[in-house]
Amino acid sequence: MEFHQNICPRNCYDTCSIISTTHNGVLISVEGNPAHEYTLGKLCPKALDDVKKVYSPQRIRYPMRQQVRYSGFWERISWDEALTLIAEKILNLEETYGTTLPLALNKYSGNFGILHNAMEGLFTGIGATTRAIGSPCWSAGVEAQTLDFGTFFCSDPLDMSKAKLIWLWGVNPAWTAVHQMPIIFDAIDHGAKVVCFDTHFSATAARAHRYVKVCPGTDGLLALGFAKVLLEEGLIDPNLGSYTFGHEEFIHYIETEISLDHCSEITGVPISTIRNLAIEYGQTHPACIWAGFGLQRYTNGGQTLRAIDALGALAGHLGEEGGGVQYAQFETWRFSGAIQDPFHPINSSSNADQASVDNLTLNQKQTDRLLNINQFAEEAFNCTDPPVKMLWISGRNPLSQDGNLQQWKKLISQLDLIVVSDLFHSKSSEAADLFLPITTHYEHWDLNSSYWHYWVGVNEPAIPPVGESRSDLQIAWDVSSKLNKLKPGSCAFPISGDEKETLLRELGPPMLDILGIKKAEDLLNGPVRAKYPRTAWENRTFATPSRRYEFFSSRASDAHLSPLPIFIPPLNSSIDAPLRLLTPHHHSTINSQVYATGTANPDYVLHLAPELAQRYDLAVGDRAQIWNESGLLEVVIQPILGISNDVVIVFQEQVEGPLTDMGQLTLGARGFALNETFVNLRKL
Amino acid sequence: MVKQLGFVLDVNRCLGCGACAKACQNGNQLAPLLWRRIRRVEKISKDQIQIFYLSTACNHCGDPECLRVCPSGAYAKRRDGIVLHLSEKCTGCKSCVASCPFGAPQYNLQTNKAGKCQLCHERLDQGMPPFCIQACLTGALKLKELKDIAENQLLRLTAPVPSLRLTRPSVFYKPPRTTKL
Amino acid sequence: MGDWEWPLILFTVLGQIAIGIILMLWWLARNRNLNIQLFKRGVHVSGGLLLIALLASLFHLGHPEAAYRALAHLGSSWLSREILFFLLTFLAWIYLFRLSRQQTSSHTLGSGASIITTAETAAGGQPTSNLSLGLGITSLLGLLGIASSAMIYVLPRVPAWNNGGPVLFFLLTTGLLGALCTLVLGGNLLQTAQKKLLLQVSLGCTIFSLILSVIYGSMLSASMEGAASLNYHLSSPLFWVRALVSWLAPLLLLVIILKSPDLGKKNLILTVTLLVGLGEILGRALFYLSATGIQITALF
Repeated sequence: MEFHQNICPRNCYDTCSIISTTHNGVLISVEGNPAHEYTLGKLCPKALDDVKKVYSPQRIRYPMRQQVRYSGFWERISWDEALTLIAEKILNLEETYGTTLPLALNKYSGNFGILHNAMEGLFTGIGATTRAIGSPCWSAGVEAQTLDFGTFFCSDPLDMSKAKLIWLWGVNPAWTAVHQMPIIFDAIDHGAKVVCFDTHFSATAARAHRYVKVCPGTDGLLALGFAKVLLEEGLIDPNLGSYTFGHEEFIHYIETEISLDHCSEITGVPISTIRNLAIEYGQTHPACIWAGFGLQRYTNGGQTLRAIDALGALAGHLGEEGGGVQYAQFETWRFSGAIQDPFHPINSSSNADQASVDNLTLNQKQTDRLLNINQFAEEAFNCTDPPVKMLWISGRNPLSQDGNLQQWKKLISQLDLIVVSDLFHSKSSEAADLFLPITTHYEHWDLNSSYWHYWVGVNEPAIPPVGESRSDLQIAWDVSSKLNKLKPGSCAFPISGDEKETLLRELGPPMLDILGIKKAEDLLNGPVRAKYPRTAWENRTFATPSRRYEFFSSRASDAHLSPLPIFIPPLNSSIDAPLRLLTPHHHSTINSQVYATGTANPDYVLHLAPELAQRYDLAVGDRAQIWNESGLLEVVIQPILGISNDVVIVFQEQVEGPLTDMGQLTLGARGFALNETFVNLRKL
Repeated sequence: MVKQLGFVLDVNRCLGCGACAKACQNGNQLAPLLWRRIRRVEKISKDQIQIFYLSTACNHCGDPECLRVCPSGAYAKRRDGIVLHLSEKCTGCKSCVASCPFGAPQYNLQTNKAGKCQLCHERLDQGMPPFCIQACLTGALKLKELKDIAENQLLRLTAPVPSLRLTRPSVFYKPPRTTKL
Repeated sequence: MGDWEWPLILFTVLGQIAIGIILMLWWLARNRNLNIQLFKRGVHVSGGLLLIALLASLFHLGHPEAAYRALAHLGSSWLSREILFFLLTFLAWIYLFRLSRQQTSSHTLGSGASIITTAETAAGGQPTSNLSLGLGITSLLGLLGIASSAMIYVLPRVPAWNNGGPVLFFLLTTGLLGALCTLVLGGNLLQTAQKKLLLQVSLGCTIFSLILSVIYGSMLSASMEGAASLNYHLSSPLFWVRALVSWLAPLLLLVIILKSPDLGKKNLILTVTLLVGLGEILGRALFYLSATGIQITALF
């Protein structure tokens, strides 16, 4: 029996540290790492099935080629054939168009391991290419917090156990961050009260003391309403003047523009509830708000987050041990970035500005054609000089996750070559010409950080690659090698290397400093917690231009946004599409990734209020259809509790939506206002 | 001294996530069977909602029905209270499956025998916790020696049928909270 | 809800017919006027049925080869006791079989029911007591076996079964089909009075079964699970077929037969027997199918 250290690389708050057990080169079990203070020896049910996933009969083990797209007829080919096809197409496009811009990469969060950035490195090594940038996930909120606090930072998750009042706002950790739940329960055991704000009665609401139903997209107004009560009740932090900027303007805005009647009417929360909750929030110290990602997937999402931040500031909860307004962090991701830029002088000083956060270098910004990941298909289709002719999809399943499927169909028809690298076939691989089998995190070296806790660690391979699968890094080396063989000098990315060495080069001096270790190899001993304080902004010195918390942000006004957090109504439903469709994460999956092994996709389940179901003459288990101008989906009906009559929920199936208000500044592209999707419903 | 080990579930900490059931299935290599299952209980009134989950496996009853009805003596109760199914003695007659009020013994179509939660007795004997308890993320599920617990703070799992109380299931629950609306 | 348990349906119904026949023979033999041919036929047929029943029961086990182990828990397991009693019944039957072989085959019987050959004379001096004792012991062991069978289903978990119902129903099947099959086997070998008695037993069992079912059904609705069992019955077409062929049809036909002058409607008797046999098999299938165990879903 041998033990190995692994890290779950999924796009998930928890980013668990795993101890895997192998016997004779076979993975036999996985367990949480007891030495990791957030994982604490426990894994979620998804990760518990990792052994089955690694050896799943559905996993693709060899490079495959599909002669006719959507035919489902895949033939096994050798790696050499696959690499030759790719390299020849790249060189052929470069020759035809005189540039490598027809070559596009669409990669996101399928595996958040740092070595997966080799794909960006490969494309940079080839030349100027077309890239998907931004995030479908959290952009508006990241930007809101950056405007308010200066950087994107949260308290250590364990800090929440010290809270006396916890507001879980649009977040469902019982499903999406299970390791936070024992911390919340510990707080409850010490007398804390937990209030859950959501659009529906979630699994987290079931474990809270109180549930408050908020009409979707109106959370910002609710926060401003709470702020109004704080003002009326004199529960404002008297020291605001010493560490915040623009509080008078904000207070003036609240006094003049916000009325509780209006707030109650729009948010659907009774005035008495608003008043009671606000007083409790103002009087209880420490009080913590955890704002979820779903809150900001609206056209007003950034404003919502800023309003909630402002509420926390007004009540004096910022910098409080066990308090604050928590969203997420990106401070432990200051890797050297050498892997994604072959021209990067290794060991050079930090380039940890916001651009590196999004894996972009200055070099790329000047030459690459950058497309918003949330409008990728449309923007790529509209590229004419030169057109996009080859697409590589990595760590994503856009044909399942993106909104605009019609646009994708149009784009696909103009592409010469579509390469998908993945573990399993997906909606996206149905359209692909080539499928490259990749390794799981049990089969390659990697380096992982969380966006919630502060632990960074090395993932070591436990078993050799299953079948002929290869890591993204290996594939990048191989493609570069083939390109250079066919045309020497055609790709600057290395043609071979050592995964572990590559990994260690990502730990530059800034990262070593953050982690408090002397040399990169020290991280091989086990995950390390970054040396940040447990409580965010404990000194109330902020990273904004004013070094204060900014109620009033001139950076916001420079970006043509309101300098103060304000309420902008979300989009409204129409007669054609009267119901708002929400698509939060389900406990059993992350986005469209495969977890259940050997089971076919079940029906999509539409959750709605019993009264709404009745209005459409629908009962449990009935088949129905939801549709709007961009798509149609067959669903099975399931009534749920505590949800408004104008909202329906399908857990993780997504339909078209407009963009969020913020995200452009920080992440280079505006986010996806997923929750501003409206549909119609009919019985089948 | 004869003792009785039993499960204690704090339903206010249980998320119904199913890690316990999955760890049991994986650890004991049961697929597609599940020895531990999660049931959702829902009680709704105008101003409050109570939703909680019951994670149950074998309750290692004080007076096990399975042991009573089994014709081949394939059930035994250890001194620590664990009710063991002895596979080598099982004839696959399904009597236990029909008689257990909790549905604990299940018929395995691969072995043509019954099977049920054995409380990971081999792991216990080596000083390790059962798979389910090791996997529980929130510490909701615990294994305790029942005489140690103040029973007045706990609820016993039972149905409103007096005869069912006779099996004396060794499983207790902390009273569930409700969520105010 | 339960499954369609063919091995158990065959085992219980056929076993009950076999023991029912022996029981009827014992009863007929009580005043020494059991026709020896009927005795032989009865023993052979019941033995055959018992053998089929025992074999069928093996198919219920996941491991038929390990059936012997099922005897290991007589202390508390009614299934162990059932197997023990059925095995003893079979041993007793072997004794009956030996008795039947000892009968002189040379003895000539008159044709027609008018010539009565009592067991004693037919046996050529064989003491009737032996025969009667053999039949009696076999019957008693068999009845204990049937009662044990029924007790297997008296489970706290299954409210529909957790009462006297299973025992009574199993015994009624024994009486009803035992009497009817003996009538078919007996044919002209039976005296009119014997026929009448057997017909009256059949009719009595049918009426009792009907009344009991109504009472039982109304009792079931007391518990949720019992109500589910009841509902399963009432909504199943099989139940209504059963009601037709093993309650309504025999009630009508048995009265008609009893009212006929010489009770000699052989074809009608055969028809009733087959209908009732079908009905009992359906009834037994429903017994297993409708079993609804308590699902504990709440804390109290």
